[in-house]
Amino acid sequence: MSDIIKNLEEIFGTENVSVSEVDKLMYSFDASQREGKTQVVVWPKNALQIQELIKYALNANLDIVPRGGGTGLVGGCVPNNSIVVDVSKMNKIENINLKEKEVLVQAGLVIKDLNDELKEHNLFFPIIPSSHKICQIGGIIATNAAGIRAIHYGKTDKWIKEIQIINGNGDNLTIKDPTEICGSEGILGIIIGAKLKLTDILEKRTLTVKTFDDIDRLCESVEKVAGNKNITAIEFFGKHTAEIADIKSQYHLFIEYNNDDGEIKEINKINELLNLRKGLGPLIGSKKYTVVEDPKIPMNKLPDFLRWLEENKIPVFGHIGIGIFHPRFKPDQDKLIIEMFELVKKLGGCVSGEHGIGLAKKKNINSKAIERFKILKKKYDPKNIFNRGKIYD
Amino acid sequence: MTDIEKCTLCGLCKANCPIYKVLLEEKYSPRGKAMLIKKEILSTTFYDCTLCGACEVECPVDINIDIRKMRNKLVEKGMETPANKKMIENVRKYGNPFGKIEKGKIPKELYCC
Ligand SMILES: Cc1cc2nc3c(=O)[nH]c(=O)nc-3n(C[C@H](O)[C@H](O)[C@H](O)COP(=O)(O)OP(=O)(O)OC[C@H]3O[C@@H](n4cnc5c(N)ncnc54)[C@H](O)[C@@H]3O)c2cc1C
Repeated sequence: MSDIIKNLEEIFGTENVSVSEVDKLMYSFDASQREGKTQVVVWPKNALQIQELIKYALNANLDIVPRGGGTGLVGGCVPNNSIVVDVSKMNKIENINLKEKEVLVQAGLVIKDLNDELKEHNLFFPIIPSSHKICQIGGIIATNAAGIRAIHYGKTDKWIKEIQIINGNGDNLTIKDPTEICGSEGILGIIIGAKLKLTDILEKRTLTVKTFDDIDRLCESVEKVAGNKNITAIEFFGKHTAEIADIKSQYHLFIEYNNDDGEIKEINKINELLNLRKGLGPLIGSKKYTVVEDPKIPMNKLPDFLRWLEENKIPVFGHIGIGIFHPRFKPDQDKLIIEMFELVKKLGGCVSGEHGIGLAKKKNINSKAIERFKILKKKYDPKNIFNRGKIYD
Repeated sequence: MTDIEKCTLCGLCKANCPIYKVLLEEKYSPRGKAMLIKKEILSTTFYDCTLCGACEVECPVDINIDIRKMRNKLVEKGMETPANKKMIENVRKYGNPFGKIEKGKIPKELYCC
């Protein structure tokens, strides 16, 4: 062990390597509340250090876990006696190209920090997961995150021009096509930067809140507005969620528009309501519903899915406009979770709409998807030094 | 349920934490401190906090991480930081945390609570 530390300190400097019990604990978990075991934590400052680390890890057969904001909900950056590489200190904006509307950033940059900087140029990066104040560019690329505006702007992969990644041979690659890396959950390499597409800032935002007692009326309403190009978000929470949040027990829809169509025009009120929606996960989690899922359901099957949740009294919220839901379960509700995934399959949905597979959903992923990941693994990380045991065994 | 038992480790508290946003290591984050309390681990990391309350504002569950209580425990166990000891000594002796202040001169070492 002392050999490992010595070598890592030579690469990163003593202040950017830690084996203290406190640091090891800090990097042993993520927002999924799963815990693993950290061997060493390192905080790289540049690509060369990471390349050196890979060379060393290849020789010493070490497992390397890339980590961003640690907001993942499937244990994707939970270590298994691994070296955790926290890229948070690589958080610079390297260049903003106003003419091309693109920005070159390092992987550790937090989404909100990027958007705060872009405000003065009237530009913004539209991938807004509810965790956008703390999750990072590398993390959202690795999970291909969606978020509240995905109905209008799509998922992360749509907004990537280039990804810079250090692969399992220690090569520093610039990749133009994001398909293979987006959603690869840190098993192919360490993303160190990206060129992102930007769009014009949302000059106007208005919001309508609708409430329903009945699932069919709710779904009809979603169907009615879903094709509207001026809608930038359709968020939802169910009756049990409302009860837990001390709100009248009804189905709630929040519809955000980029024009004057919404009924609420006052921006502080809009932000307050959207913040309430964004905080529902942790709020429900704090009431012992600690297991979070994120199935994606075909739009024509929403009523069947919501009815099942209602019958089983499962609190739920989510990005209903794109069919992604976050039902929340208590840890002893395994049987219900299995039942739910059977239903998701029957309805033609998929296991994970945005959070990924990580450790949490390994048993639910299908063999076709595993085959795809194995092929990519061979291509980028043939010696398997990144994030062992994630997605598949 | 205590406040800390309600914490789901989501990390939203990191968003405006003035210590975490500068040092960018998880142990300085409010979430890190919550984890230490969950695990009943005493660490001088509890001194790395301005007590500004920005974490509580961001927290969707309104958790107040009782840093003062943890500092009391550190003092009881003799685990104060040298800076903290010096600051208290200065307050007792000079009525301020910086030590002897000479007019027009900046104190050599700055201790703050
Ligand atoms: C309150 C809350 C709300 C959320 N809302 C949403 C939402 O609306 N939409 C959504 O999609 N997700 C959401 N999430 C989940 C989570 O925020 C996303 O998955 C996010 O993209 C993770 O980013 P991160 O920087 O925290 O990554 P981490 O949690 O640190 O890591 C996640 C995965 O990415 C890999 N990774 C991280 N950085 C790198 C890198 N530089 N190179 C290679 N691999 C890397 C890790 O190994 C891991 O597998 C939410 C989470 C919370 C706690």
